[in-house]
Order: sequence, then C-alpha cells, then structure tokens
Amino acid sequence: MVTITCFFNRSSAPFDVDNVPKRILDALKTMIVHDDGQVTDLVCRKRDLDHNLQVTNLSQVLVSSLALNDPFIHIVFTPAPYLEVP
Amino acid sequence: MLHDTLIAEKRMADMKANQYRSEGYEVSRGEDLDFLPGYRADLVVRKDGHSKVIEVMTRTTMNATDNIAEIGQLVNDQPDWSFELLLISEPERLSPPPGTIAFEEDDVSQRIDDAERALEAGFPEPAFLWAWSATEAAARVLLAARGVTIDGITSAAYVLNQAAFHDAIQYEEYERLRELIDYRNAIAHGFRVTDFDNTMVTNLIAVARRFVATARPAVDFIARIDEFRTLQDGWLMGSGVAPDQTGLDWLAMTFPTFFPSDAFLPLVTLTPTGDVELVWSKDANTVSLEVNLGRRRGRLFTNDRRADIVHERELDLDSAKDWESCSEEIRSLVGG
Repeated sequence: MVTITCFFNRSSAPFDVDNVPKRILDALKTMIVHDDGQVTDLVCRKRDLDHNLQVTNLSQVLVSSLALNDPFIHIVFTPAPYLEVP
Repeated sequence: MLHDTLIAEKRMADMKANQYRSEGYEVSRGEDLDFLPGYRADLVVRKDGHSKVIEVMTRTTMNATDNIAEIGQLVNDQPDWSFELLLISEPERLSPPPGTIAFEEDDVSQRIDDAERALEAGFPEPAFLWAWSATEAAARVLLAARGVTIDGITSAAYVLNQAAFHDAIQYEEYERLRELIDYRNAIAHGFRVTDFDNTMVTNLIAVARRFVATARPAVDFIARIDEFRTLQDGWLMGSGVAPDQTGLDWLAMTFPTFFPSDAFLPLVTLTPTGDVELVWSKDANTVSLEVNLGRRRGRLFTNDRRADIVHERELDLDSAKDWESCSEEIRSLVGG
C-alpha cells in the first residue's frame, strides 16, 4: 500500500490531487517497486503547510521536512490490507 | 516576556482540551509520563482504556526540539497509547535584509515626525506609508510593554490581530486600522486610490502618537491625565467620547494617594467610551483597571498568561478600602 502526502504552501503552483499518484508511481518504478502494477492500494492527500496539521505517525524524516516549511512529498509504503474491501 | 508563538500554542492546547472534554474524554495538562522520564505532555486525553498524548507545537518550537519524533515513537510503542503532533500554523515571517533592526520608541517618534513633514510638504501618500510604518512599529512596542514579543517581519494584519487580542489597542482602533490596510497595500503596491485623502494620514499619525504615548508608563500621572483633558468628542479617528472633566480631576487627586510616585506606574490610556484604563505588566502577568469616571467604579482584570488564569472584579472607587485592596493585589502580581 502506498500513501502519498503532498505538502504545499502559498508559493506552490495549484494542483489536483488526482494528477499526482501516476507520476510518482512511475518515478518510483525500478527504485522501490519493480512494477507499479504491484501496488494494490493507494491513498493520496494534499496538505497545506500554512494551515494547522495533525500528525500521528511521526518519523524523524517527516519532522525534519515539516520543520523546513518548504513544499515536499511524503511517501509511505506499508503492507496492503489483505483482501480487505472497505 | 512571552513570545507570540508560545501564546498561540497555549491557545490551541486550551481549545483542544475543551474539545476533548466535550467528547467525554478525561483530559490532563502537563502530565509526567512514567515511561518517558523528564518529558511533560502538553495534553493527555483518555477514554475507554486508551490514552493519547497530544503535543502542540509551532514550527519555531519544533525546530528547537530535537527529539519529538523519538518521543512520538516511544509513546506509540506503549500498549493502548498513541501520539499526535498538532503543528499549528504561524504567520508568514518575511526574510529581513541584513542590518534590519526593530524600531525603538524614539525611532517611531522620528518616523511620525517624518510623516507630518511629508504631509505638510504636499506628499500625502508617502506620509501615509511612513505613518503606517510608525503605527505598526508602535503596536509592537505596545505589545512589548504588555510582555508579548513578535519576532521578525510579519503581516500588518497579524500585528494588529495580536495587539487587539492582548488588549494593547482598542477594538474601535483595530477595526479602523484594518480598513486602512487596504489603502496601505494599494499605495505600497503601486496603485492610485481615488478616495484617499489627507484626513486618513492625519488620523493615522494621531493613532501612532497615541500608541507611543500609551507604550510609556506614566512617569508623570498628572501630566498624562492633563493630555486627556484636551481631547474632544471624535478623538478616536472620528469616534471616541471626550472624558468627563470632573472625573479626571477626581482621578488625578485620588490615584496618587494609593499609588505613590515611587510605585510601579501603569500605562494609562483613554477608552473609546471616555473612561481611563490603567495597565500594569510584568513578565507574563498583566493587570488592568478600567475606571469609569462618571460612576467612579472600577473593573479590575488580572491575567496570568502562563497559568492562563484570569480574574475580574468590580470596585467601588469612592471607597478607600477598595483602592487599598486593588493596590495590594496589583503589587503582589506585578511588583512595585
């Protein structure tokens, strides 16, 4: 499962969240996954750095990136929920 | 002195605590956690056997804290515990060019004089921008006099919001200044404003002068009261009630009896309704006494910003006993 969060601020160009995953998964091909067809679950979000943010899974890399206050993309790979259909 | 970001964090923590309480959670503040010696959680909320630690931070605080991710991990590793970071937004702080120094009071006064000279010489727009610059700097000086600092260059609206929130400026002044921000932006960004006139400049200069005068503790209380005697109806950018002259006489005679000149003297301002407000501030404590000149009644507000404890009580200022108790309370909170 891939969770993509695009953090943007007032200096970022406007973008639609649905345009993001394809490009990122293509870019990750061969680096992280052999084939983006392997990805079964995908969540993509956009979050405004100029607004309040509620962060639950805090890693050092996320803290360092949030501290800079520049736009960035955070990608998390986790095991996909087996056969779950919400 | 409290930084504006610390106040923002505290307000958010208060808001979150109230929100969780209303949802049936048990909420504790500043709790020590057994499994994390030396760490005090901003908020711990509990319900149905689950505990959540909530840390409220601005980016400024987060940059000064080097182990927040580690703390989050340690909390999440505990059975039935979870961690949440609430990262709250801060105003945009512009990068100042090298050598940028915040105005002191004298600099503000100098800039007001410059604005007046520019207006007299027939340059109202530059005069307006100088007057605005002086007003914004004076608002920061006023906030500093109340123990609140704003670092760096922020938006004009943010400075005014902070000044109004901490009662450093009157709400009526705040509203009028907010209206003038649009004029300031249009002029500064190269637009012609057809309904701009000299009155806006003279009003703004008057506001800046009043802010500067208010930022100084009343070294000479009587002289400050005498300044109020000269004010007519409309003194506050077109509104503002002139103070009652008999009431000013009474206050000028009574106040020094209970607050001798060697005591810790207050900031003295006139309210839009023509009453007098006296403000004492030290560290995170602020005390204000609103004096109704006509009724000779007072309202005493004490605010401990660190502990977030606010008290308010009414005083009969014809009573020496009430003056004495008020004087004692003020001394105990802010010294003097």
